[in-house]
Amino acid sequence: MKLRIKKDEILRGLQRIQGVVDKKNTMPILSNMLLSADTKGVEIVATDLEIGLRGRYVADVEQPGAVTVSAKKMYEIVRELPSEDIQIRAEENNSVKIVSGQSQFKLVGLPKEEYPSMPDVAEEGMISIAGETLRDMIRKTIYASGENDARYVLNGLFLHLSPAKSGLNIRMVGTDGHRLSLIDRTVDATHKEESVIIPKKAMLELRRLLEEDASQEGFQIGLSKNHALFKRDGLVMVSKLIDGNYPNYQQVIPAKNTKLVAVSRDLFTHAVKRVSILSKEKTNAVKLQLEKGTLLLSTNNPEVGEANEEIAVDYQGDGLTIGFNSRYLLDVLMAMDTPTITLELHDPLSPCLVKEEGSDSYRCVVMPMRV
Amino acid sequence: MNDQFLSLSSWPRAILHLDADAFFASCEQAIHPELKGRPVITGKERGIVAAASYEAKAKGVQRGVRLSDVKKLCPDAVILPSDYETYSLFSVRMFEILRRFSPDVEEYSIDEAFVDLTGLRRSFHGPYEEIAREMQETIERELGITVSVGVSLSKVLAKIGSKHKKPAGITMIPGREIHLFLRDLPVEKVWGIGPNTAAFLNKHNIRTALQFARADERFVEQNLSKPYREIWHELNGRSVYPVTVETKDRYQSISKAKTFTPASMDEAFVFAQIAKNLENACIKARRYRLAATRLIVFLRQQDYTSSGVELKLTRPTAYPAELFGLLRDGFQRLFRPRTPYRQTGVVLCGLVPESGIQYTLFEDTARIEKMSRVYTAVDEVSKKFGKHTIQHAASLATKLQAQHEGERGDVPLRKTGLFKGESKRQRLGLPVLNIKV
Repeated sequence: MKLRIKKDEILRGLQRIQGVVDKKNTMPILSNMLLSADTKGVEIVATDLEIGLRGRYVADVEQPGAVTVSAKKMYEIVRELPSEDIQIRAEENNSVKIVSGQSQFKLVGLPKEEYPSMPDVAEEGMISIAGETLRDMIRKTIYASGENDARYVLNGLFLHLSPAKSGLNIRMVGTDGHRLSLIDRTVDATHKEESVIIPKKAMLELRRLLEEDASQEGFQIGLSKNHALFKRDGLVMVSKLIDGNYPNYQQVIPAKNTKLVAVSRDLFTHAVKRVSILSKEKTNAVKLQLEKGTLLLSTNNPEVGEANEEIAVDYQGDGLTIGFNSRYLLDVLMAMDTPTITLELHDPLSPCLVKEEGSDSYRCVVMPMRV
Repeated sequence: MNDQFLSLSSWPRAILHLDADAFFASCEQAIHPELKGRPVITGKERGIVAAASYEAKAKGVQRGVRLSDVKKLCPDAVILPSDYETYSLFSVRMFEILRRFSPDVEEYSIDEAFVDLTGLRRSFHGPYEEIAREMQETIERELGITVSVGVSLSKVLAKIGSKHKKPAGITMIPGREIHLFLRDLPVEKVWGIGPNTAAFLNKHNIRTALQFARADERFVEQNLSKPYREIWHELNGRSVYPVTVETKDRYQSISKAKTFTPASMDEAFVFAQIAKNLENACIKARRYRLAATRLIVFLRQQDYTSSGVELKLTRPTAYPAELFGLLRDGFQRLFRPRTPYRQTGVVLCGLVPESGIQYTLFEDTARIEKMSRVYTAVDEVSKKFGKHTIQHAASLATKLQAQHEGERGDVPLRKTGLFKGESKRQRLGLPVLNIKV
């Protein structure tokens, strides 16, 4: 293998795979990447056996071939190289030579045959979705998903496809048992009803890919029995699915909360941020006291002090005092996009529903805490 | 080099450590004056020696020896069941006496305390040794028990001092004399140094406390973790550990374990024991308004091998009723049939304040709140009528079967001779002097 490639081009590929390669070092080869060259250019592949990412990049290939070397070391080297032009060539004993300007590196590699292959997912019935839509759906739900939860299905996002009047409804749900976030979007596609759970790590990596370039064209989503496939020109990501039953999330979304509050998202966000400075570190508890026309936020930490702030809200019902983890509130507020949001409350023990103004397609639920 | 001073100034700090002499046995002698001067042993209900008076120790009786062996060593020994109520009453009074001398008293265990005497010479108009002596005499005069004290520049050194001369000893270790006390002391006898650290130090040719104290700072920094570096400073007369006055109100974890004799193979009985451990741990957690996020369960077999398992809770709680299912799972994983067990225990960890409990989506919040009201009521009843007035059926077997065989016959006098208005569970907080006329 022998090739020339521009620094920016290969750097883009190397950056993309840094989150995918295995950092726990269970199998040495999983911290490596596979670099293969053919007449059309080069491909960079990385996998941790759960997620696989394959990207194609422009290069001037003199001699085709493939090598596998440490993804991290390769990235660190390329990042620091002095010149725009990089030469890469395979040497004996699986090692790789990288030359740029006056710098020369020789990286020890492993036999390319040992690199695990990415699972083949049949590309049938692919669903087209705008990159921006997919990115927003992930951003608006992933914060609520679980982190190393013993209930392993919560460590992923639930994806539900269902035929709708005008196309296909895509629903994404995340929950960690304390809060829940659900978003519905309709796309122009046809697909049978189907639901899967995709691991959080895959969704985080996908979000990074989607954030690279906002103007990018659409993504294709494909599902097989055990895998999900995300694809666009020159880039393929495959993820294993989480096998299990997702909890009955519809049952915990309150439908009959009668205390409706409209509040400025900006005002509320900053008030929570300020007041939570003095909340107890372990619980982040903030108390909300709702009265006609006003919402009083307060925290009280006997060891540090106390904070109060009153904001104007559009509310006409009875008074209510309820506690929340301020971090959970802020996560929701950050995920919302409209200037005004609606809180739907019932009592201090029942979940609070948060919505963007005038829309039912994005719903967030936060459980209160005892204060 | 052995004669070099470790510290030049005599009393930059003055920390006293007090250790009661054969505490349980001494308390028994104090409330049964006729037993003074006789070999007294407590622990009858457990079948082993819990404490032995100096008269018994002189005949070779040691802690942990089986009572059947005691009779061979010391046929005239008076063997009594433990009366923890009286011991703890003596303990409280002992600490109160110490507080007359200094406000800085740390209750280290039922029969040990640290007292910070630094600066008290002025108000007392006398040297530290006089203060120590007066403390000792007051305790003996008012409580009828003897204590041994050590006074030095740090807690670790004070503890070496109190052990140096027992019973009724006073050992002063000023800065200029530290090395004399450490010279012949094996390093594993130093407070906080266990067999593993001692073995490690031995490999580096450090066998005595003095050799350890003189170890190069670089060696200590590079090879030992923080607790041992602190001990090293303390041995050199540089006080690191403060005398902590407040009674503990913050916990990282709460553990409750209990031994029962004889060992049992009865699954229901062993589970009842661990269920009671859990009840007790939860009572304590609720008293400090805490809730656990993790639960450790362990069983110890008769041959002292133990096995344990850590379980993660989906939600912080201090209500046994919510934990029994999990406890049962953990127990089932550990329990082996036809294996005699002698001890069970639980540890509540990852404690968080109960007030900040986050409600969850997939559990019934109203039920949890109801549970909290049930346990508030249980705790109220306990306050009025004594602990375990209401208990879970899971731990009922502990009430039906005695913790220790023969316990029924071996109840301390305090539990039988009740005053008017006292009940088995609630008695006056006074030690009772038993004089035979």
